[in-house]
Amino acid sequence: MSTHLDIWLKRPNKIYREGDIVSGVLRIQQHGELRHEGISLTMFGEVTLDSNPKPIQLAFSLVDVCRTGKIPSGLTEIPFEIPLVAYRNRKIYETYHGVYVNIRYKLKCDIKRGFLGKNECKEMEFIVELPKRPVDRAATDAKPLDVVISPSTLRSLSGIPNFKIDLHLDSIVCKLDKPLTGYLVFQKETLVLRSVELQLVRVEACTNTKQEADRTEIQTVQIIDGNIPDNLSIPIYMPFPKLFSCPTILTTNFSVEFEVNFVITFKNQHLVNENISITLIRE
Amino acid sequence: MTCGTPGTPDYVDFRPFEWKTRLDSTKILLKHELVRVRVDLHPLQRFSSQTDHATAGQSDGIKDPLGSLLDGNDPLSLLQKQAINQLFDELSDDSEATDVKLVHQLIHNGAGTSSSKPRPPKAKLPRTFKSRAIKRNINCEDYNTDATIDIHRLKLEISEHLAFDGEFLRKFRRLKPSELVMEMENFHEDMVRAWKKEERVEALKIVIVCAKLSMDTENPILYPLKYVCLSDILSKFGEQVYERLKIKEEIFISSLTSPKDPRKPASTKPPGTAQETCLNWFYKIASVRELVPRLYAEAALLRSYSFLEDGRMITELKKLTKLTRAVGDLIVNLYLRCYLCQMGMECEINLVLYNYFRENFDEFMITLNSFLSRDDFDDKINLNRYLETLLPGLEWLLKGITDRDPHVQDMLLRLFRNMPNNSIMLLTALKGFTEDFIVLNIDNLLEWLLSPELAEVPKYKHLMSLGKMCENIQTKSADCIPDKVLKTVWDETERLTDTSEYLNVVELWLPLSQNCLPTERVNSILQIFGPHVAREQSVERHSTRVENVVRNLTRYADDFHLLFISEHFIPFLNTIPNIQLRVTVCKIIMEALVQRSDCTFICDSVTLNSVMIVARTVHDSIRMSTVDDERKQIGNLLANFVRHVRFRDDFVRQMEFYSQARMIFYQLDIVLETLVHCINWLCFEQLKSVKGNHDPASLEFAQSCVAYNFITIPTLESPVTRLQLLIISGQVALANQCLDMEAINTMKKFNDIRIDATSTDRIRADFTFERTAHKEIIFKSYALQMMSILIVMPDDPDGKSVFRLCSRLYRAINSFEWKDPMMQPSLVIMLMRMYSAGYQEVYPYHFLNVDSNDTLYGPDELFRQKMDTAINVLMHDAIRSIIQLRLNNHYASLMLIVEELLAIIFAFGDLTNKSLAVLSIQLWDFCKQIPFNTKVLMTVQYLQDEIDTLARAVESRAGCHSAVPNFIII
Repeated sequence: MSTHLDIWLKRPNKIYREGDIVSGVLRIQQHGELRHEGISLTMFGEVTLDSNPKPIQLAFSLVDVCRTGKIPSGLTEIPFEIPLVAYRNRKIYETYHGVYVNIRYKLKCDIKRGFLGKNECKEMEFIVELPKRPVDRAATDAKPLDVVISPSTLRSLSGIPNFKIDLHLDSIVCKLDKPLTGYLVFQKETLVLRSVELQLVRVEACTNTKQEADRTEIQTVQIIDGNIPDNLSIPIYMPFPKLFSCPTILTTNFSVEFEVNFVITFKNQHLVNENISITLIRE
Repeated sequence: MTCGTPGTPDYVDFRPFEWKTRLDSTKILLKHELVRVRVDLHPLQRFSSQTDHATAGQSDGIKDPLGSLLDGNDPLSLLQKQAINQLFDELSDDSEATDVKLVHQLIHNGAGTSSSKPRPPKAKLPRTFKSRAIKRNINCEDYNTDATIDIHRLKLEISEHLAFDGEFLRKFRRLKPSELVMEMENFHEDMVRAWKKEERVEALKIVIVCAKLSMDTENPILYPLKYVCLSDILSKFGEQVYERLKIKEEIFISSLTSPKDPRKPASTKPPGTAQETCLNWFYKIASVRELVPRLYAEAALLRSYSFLEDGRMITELKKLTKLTRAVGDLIVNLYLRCYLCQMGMECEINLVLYNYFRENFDEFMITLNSFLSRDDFDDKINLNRYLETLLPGLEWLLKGITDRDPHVQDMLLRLFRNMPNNSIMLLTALKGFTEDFIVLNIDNLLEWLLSPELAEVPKYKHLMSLGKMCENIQTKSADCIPDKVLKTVWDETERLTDTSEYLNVVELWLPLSQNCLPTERVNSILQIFGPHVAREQSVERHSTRVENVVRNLTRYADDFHLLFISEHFIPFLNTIPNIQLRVTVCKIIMEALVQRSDCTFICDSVTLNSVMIVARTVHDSIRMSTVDDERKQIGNLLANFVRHVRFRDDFVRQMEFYSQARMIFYQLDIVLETLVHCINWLCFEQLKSVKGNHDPASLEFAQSCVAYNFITIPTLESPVTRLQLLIISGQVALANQCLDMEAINTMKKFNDIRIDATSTDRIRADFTFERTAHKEIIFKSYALQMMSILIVMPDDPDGKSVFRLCSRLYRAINSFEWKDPMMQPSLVIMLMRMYSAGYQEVYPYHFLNVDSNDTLYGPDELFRQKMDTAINVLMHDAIRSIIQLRLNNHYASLMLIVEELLAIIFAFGDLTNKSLAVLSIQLWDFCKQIPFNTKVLMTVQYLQDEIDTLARAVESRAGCHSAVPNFIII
């Protein structure tokens, strides 16, 4: 006698917003009859901070799907619907998988089996996305950025030949579902370019520990390979990864912010680093 | 008349008899003249090989068994042609060139740019061809086991760890082209295998590893090959993803329409939309760190964008085209763009909506332009090699533009022309522009080619490309290439210093210049060709090319004869250091000499002198070890050449030439044989010129001809040929009224030869003739021919012996060791026939101006007596043979002999002579005693009928003296 328990959501992409009703079916695949003492479904959302072992609850609801009874042999599908609402006076944040900060939303199904039987349990994560509230509209406007990098703008100067890099970002307020775009123009004269890499960096801080914010790399993509011609505008293009990025969060307990790093490597091992903070939003 | 019971007498006793020839037999013969029928076709003409078959004992088949199989081309020469073509393909000067050639072939065939006609883009990408070409390439290379093991280990490293460090790259760079293909094929298979095992991320990883390999341009020559393999893998990957998404979408749609189907087994995963999975793929790829693999992978999945929204493919392709700017390496950049265009074609993106070919080409031009504008290149040679790697890709892109939009070519030409260091662009233009455009702008292109900025650039590639283009133009429209182009090309060609390049260009351009190859040009080619060929090491490598060039030169030269009088011709031959090659070249020249239609006869001595040198070289190449086939081939060549020499009416000079030829070509029987025939022809030509009547001078010449044959023929090895030639030469001598020594000697020689012929033949019999019987048949036929000539051959005027030579022939027949017991007696009977014919008052035929015995001795009684005596001797000989045959129980042969003998007696014997009549009756009785004699009955029946007919004829012509009563007696 074996039981296979599964949770299927109605939305294939598993993305829900605040106020949405998370609906789907419980699927119990059963060989032989299954006696149980009730099936329950829990929906919860929580923030896990590295500094704090106890997660912060964001949402919670419990539904008794079924009372004590029997489940017949074969496949049983039990539909369910749970509304996604904030827990008391908490605020819902977007799903985010980080190093020190994690925000996750899960569905958990339990089949209680009394003393003798083994309880069946199944957990499933779903994704929560939050559109910007209309109040913050002003913050969503594009903010283009132009940076000129040349030996004079660099901190360490040790006989670097002359060069000039025009860096343009279309906006430092970035929409999560749109890529980071912009362009780079080089005037490097005798210098030979090897590579330009674009790092996406998260800055996570748990404010209650008074620790300094930690910078960790989310992803690095190469945007230029080899010695490209001068005065040619090279496009910058980087989509933001799912789960690992979310709208910038600043709360009293913790904060999640993002930066991009341009790492420019020349053939003679010279390395130029340009760091730019960006704000991520979702429309 | 009935046949008695066959008895078996122990011996046969014939009564003594006396032969007497009947005089009127010829008259009867003459009355029944054969009706002449004129035929247009020689009955044997179509089945020339029939005699051979007949000798081999397959005479029943009249139809030529090979004829039906061959319609124009015989399979052997076709095979040979193929082999040669293949050889040309494979035999390049060095491995690098082979690689480049292979790569070009792969790229071009892969992209299908060979035709300039606009076709739907899909049809231009025959994918299967690529892999076939690759596989063929693998098959043709040998692998040593070490290399295979090495590769295997390498593979393990990749598949287990997917490591991509410097060590791996170094190993990869050392691979040979075939190994590289093999390795990429392995990746391909691994990827497909991983996909089938549902390890899709693993498959993606393999794809990315392959794409990473494409970033390495350390060995630029192999890059296009690598690209072809990579594009195969990528496209396969893209296809797999697309197919899977499609299936997913179908499942999802069906799950929406019929949510529950109890018959279907419950799936273990919730249905997801294709869109969702597709997005996941793109997220996955977007996080690939390296730029080039990321762009390749994204391009490979281009088709899958169709699951997201309409028109997304175009925007993505546009984006990728822009992003490719960030690839700094020219080669990587270009081939990535090629792949984008290839994907554009595969996804059938409408070029009107987005001309990705144009866009990518323009984008690349920006990159290339800025690269070429730099003036800090350290290594120009390496730079050129590097740039040449771009050619296949550039050509492909350009074709993509020009095929669809030929009008942009003007603009592009101007653009190319204005670029710095534009040698590569000229090459691209020559390869990528349409033929029509090139024909129109040939002046511009030539001017560019000759421009000072290209002065230092080696023009080899340009000349080759132009040549290839002209080749196409010529095959299509049969237009002549303007002389101006040819002049420029040849001028430039003369400046090439590298032998291999020079030979390549000359090889290509010679056939193109076929309509315009004046003598000066040929001369200058020869002059420059010589020093190139003279280098020992180059000859070893380029011998095929040299042969080709000489072949084309001889084929296309305006005036072939002038080639021989060129002052550079003989020096050129002498500069070839390799004897083998020199001989081959000479052979080619000889072949051309024989084949060229415009070069019928050689009649001037300067040309002849040159040709003789060539011919002599060919002849002197024969060694003891030379195989028979080659000997035969050379022999045929030289024999043909001998026939080509004609001095018109100058017979003496002609004769001199033949004497010289005999001296030089002493090793080849075929040539000597031809010489004998030529001499005979010459003899008759001369006879014709004096209208059949020799004056003393011409007679002397004819005699010298006969003497020539008399000396030449015995040196031949094959006795059969000797016999044949002797008979022919003898007739020629007779026809030319050379009645004294020469003719007689020739005839004598014939009789003598047969004795030694038997001895040689016994040794050679095994391979000359299949069976001794055939040899005997041949000798018999020659002996018969001989007899027919001897009839009209006049005897010495002293009259001492009648048919002096015949008695010699008789002795020869007797001394021959016959295997077939029937041969000797049947030949003796034939001799009897001959003598009987000689007995007649008028011989059935004569040689013109030759008085035969009938004129000389006609009615002389003494002469006739001698004749009868001779026949008598022969008759006795025949009877002896009959007894011998009877004793040895050779009934079949016996029967034939007796019949023949009887026929002779009836035809020529004077049956009024009693002893002869008795003999014939005895023979007839003897005939009846032969056991198993079924033929007798038939003969009797036949004779009965004949007699009846004759009797009726006699009755109607009463009083006519005839042989009829004798028959009635029987």
